[in-house]
Amino acid sequence: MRKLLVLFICLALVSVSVFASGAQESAFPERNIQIIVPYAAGGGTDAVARAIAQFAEPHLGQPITIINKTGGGGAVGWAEAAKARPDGYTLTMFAPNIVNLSIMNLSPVGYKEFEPILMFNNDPGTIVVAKKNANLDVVEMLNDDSYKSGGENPNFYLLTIQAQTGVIHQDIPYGGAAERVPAVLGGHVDFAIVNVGEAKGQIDAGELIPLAVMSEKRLDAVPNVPTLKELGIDAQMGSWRGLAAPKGTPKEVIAILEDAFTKAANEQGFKDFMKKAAFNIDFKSSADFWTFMEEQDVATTKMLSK
Amino acid sequence: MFSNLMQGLMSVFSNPMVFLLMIFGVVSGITIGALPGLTSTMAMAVLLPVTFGMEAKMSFALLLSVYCGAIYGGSITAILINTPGTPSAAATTFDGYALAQRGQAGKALATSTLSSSIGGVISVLLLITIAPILAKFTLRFAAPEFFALAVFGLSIIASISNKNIVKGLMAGFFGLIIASIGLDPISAIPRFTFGRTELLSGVAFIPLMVGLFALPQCFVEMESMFKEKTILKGVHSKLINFKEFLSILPTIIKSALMGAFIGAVPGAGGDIAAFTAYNEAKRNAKKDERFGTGELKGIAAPEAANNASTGGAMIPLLSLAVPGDSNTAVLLGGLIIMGLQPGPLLFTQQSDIVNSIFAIMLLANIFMGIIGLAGIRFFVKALSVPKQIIVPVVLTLSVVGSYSMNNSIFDVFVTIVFGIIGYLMLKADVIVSPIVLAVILGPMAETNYRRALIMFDGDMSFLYNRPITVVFLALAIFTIVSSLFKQKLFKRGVSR
Repeated sequence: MRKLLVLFICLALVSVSVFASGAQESAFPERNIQIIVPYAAGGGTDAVARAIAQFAEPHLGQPITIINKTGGGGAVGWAEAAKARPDGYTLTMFAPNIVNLSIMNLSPVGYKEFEPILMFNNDPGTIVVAKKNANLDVVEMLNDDSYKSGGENPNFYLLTIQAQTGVIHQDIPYGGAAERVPAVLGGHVDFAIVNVGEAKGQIDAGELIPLAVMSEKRLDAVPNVPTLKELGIDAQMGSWRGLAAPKGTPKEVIAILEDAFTKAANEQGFKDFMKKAAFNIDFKSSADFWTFMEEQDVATTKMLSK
Repeated sequence: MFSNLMQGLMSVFSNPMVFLLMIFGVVSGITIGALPGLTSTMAMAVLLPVTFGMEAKMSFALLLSVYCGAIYGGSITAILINTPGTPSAAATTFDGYALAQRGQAGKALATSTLSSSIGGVISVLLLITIAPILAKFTLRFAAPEFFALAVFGLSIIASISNKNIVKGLMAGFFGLIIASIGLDPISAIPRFTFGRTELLSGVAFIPLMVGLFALPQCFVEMESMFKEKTILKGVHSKLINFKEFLSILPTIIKSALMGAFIGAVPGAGGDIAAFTAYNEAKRNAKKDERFGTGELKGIAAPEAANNASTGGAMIPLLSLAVPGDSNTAVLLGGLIIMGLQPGPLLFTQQSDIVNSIFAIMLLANIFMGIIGLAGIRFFVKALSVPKQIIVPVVLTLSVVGSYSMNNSIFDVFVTIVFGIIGYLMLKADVIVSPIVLAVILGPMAETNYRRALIMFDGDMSFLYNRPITVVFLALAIFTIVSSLFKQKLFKRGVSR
């Protein structure tokens, strides 16, 4: 009887330890997770990262720290993230440059060095003009090369449109929206393509007029503004953000992260934040996000080779 | 106009928590500003998520106090150890450190504190009264105007190096070469990056500045620190008297107006404001005033101007939703997250929060003055700490600061390399400030010149047929010519 009891206890211990080790394997994460943001604190990508981190912490049960590592339009931060141990404890924020920079040979790493986790938003380009040009016909404007544009170089929004219209506008190189918006307001350029969130104050005040958006469907933020597609120019391009882990991160870990971040992204608090900041929510699962980036890669490569 | 301010003050006074946050913000801002390598942008970005859950008023009390405090804090280390804590305080080293070395650190700090506080208050008053008009005016700045402004800023190199203009120009051109490293701002082609990803966005500015100012100073101290008793004798914390205050007041007001205006131009911040105001004060110097040797006006001008740039920078932020620098970019993020959309409508639809912002900035500048004046007695104690302790502390802070800027060990190497360059320059009696000016203004001049050429299809008539451009270019020529003239006079005086 006693022997039987000992045997039973031994069996119990073994099974508990086996169970425990099994549990340990699936116990990711067991320490804090860091997200490398390749852009400065206070910017749009940083804001999304900090907000999602706040909502994902309870789902993962571990603190998430944000590390800003800027430079080279994102290349520095991504190079660092790609080198990190692929264990799911180091993640990074993606933006369109993860695809674009490596096509232009400006970054040692591209999206293929990573495993996507989840895409959060996609803000389509929105063509804005100053108040005095409110009555311009946008199709006419895009087909008339006497109108000047102000945009980043290379201006992927404008290149996408030009690929459809064949009309080449003079494009004066400006930095971010902080430079493009005053350039349009001051009449130094005729139009610029920005994200609605970047110009919302001026749009609400009627100082900047959005003429068209470069998305499949109209935007909730500016429901009266037509899409370029409706107007007969099928040009779509947006600025998107998502989360990724270095290549080689175990499938199970990616699945846990995808699950936790998807739950966090679907919380009302996060959605409210995105709405307030005028980010256009467009969740894409790990697999869809990958396909999306492949499509972007093909389109951009084609555009730049022209 | 001022009834708005009163409303704002009342809503701030109704909540004691706001006061506590502001005092905390000012004190931490001053501390962060004083530490080389730690900047107000960093502090605000770290605090921003903390403020997510707060009421908008409280969140701004914290963020704006840190912003104002940090710009002032940079002058403390500039005066005491010749190491500007922030880029805005680089111009304060000229006379501030010289005066402190003469044993009058208290006087130097009092001048900087009062000038900062008054400069800040003046800029807030301007923000309240003429924000919409000034915002409209700055919209007239297109590429040619920005180019001319940058050239004018660069011409100040001649003025700050009038002991030896050739050496100043050498430093300036070296700075311009450094500024050309990285992705070309117009066509995005890498220049002088040697294949390093870290250099694609150029040499990081804060590590460069820490290297140029903090390290050489430490190296020089190290040469003598075990040889002799290196504690400054006769340091007194005596502040300035009323007569002295009256004599610098016109400089403060003038510099504050210039600072607020420059701050309001997107892309130009406290650093350019400070150098411009210093240049202007020096140009107007009376015969018995010797700038560079501890002249009170030489401290008052840059300090009033850099703090005035805070109120100025709020103008395009609030009325155009255009952040002029990295600090206001963080504030813009804060505003948007709180559901406030800056822009023309903010003033009418959210006048309550706008009034609170006015009141908070006004009070933050006043608190900053009071806390600063009260702290001078403690700040000057840093001078009586033995060099054997100060030097390692500053070296450590410099390295930590340059690392923490971007969590990058590469930036630490940048600091060390520029530390060595700065030390050699110090030995060769070449001032380093022109490098700072060139690194800030070089890209601004280049980008806007090339942008203007594209805008006008290669036609260079924009250089003379746009009024604002002409004014700035004329000022630049005037600054260079008058500096050359003064140097000649100076040399003649010496040879006699």
